[in-house]
Amino acid sequence: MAFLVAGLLLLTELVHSVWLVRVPVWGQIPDPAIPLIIAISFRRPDWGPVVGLGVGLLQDLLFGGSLGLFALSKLIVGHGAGVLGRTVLVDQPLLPWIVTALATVLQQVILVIVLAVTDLLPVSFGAFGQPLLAQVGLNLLAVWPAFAATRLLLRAPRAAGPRERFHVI
Amino acid sequence: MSGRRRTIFFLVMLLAVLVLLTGQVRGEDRRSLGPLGTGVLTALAPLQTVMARVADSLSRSWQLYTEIGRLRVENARLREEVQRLTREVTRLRETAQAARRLETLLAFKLQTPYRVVAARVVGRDPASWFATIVVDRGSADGVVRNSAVVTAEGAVGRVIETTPFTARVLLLSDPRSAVGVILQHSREIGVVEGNGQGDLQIKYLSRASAVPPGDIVITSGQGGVFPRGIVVGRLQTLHAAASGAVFREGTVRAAVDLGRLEEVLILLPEGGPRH
Repeated sequence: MAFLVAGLLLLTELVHSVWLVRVPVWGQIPDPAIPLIIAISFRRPDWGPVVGLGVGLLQDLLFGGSLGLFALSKLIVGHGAGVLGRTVLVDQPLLPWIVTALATVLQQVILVIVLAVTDLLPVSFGAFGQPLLAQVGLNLLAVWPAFAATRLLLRAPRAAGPRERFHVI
Repeated sequence: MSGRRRTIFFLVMLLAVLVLLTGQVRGEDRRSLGPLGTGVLTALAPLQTVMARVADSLSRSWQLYTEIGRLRVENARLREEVQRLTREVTRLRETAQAARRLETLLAFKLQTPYRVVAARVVGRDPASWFATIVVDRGSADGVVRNSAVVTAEGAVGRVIETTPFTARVLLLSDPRSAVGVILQHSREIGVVEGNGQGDLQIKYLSRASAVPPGDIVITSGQGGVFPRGIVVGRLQTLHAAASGAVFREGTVRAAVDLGRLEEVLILLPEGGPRH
């Protein structure tokens, strides 16, 4: 099962780096890894940080930036999603979309801070304007497929409380 | 995993990433893959290549599809443009031909000693019983009855009626038309009449005349309509004189195509202003 999840993550990042980069929308490219990390973390909260770190490192390798840049932001996103998966009722219908949107914003904040501190790339507050809105919108489009794929791969839910149900997606 | 262990595990990973990132940033290129990173990228390269080829193929197909649609629209637009240009060419050809005709008429007008006015043919006899045409010049322009009508090629006919702005012209081919002529080379005199079928007949040629075929027939100036020297046509055939007949007859091919007149010149009487 872990191999299947790893394979799914690898395939997602290959699609991201080869196909999705050819079709920018509103100048932005969707990041399907974020909703996928959240979907996996909701079902396997302990996997959240590891999945986030692994996907982040893969993105660092494929995208040509400094190693650790996306690994840091995805690690934090994965850990946060895992915490949510353990503490919050995940049967809220809008929860996946809300968490995806917040995670996208969080990643952008982390990236801007790291880039500003390390002086890797020039950044401006414009990164939080229309580009961020476009990024959030595009990532939200990937929520349904990410959660559906995760449900297929991770059929047996984690040990859940009586009130938790995964009938959101 | 207990909560405390999870937190420690996360903090350890966070520290490792920060160390990695710091090492990268301090490096010369700000990116150092190491053997593991290089190995991963090498392993993924074939997959990336295959996926890129698939994407290129799809992109080309999509471009071809959209190109077909664009070409279809472009094709329709160009067809319409071709039709428009064809109409324009036809119109310009017509204009050029009219210009050539008018140029010829103008040249004739400038070199003739007579007072002339140019006129456009605006009507024909619809019943085709009579060989007449209507032109767009009339008494207001100085046109009078029996004014000679010519073109640069030769005689056309005479004015038989006028209104202030139009005039009716009796063509040479009309049976009622008769013009005194002379054959240019043999100097034989005769009369050219219309036969009602679009042809001209020459009559009253001397029985003994030795007229070569093809002789040019010009107006003799007798009759008071046409001045002397205007080409009527060319002698086509000369019939043998009937037994006991005094005169011979023949057919004349008109110099002017009387069935395709578009512009003519009307010779005005002496004494009025030159047009």
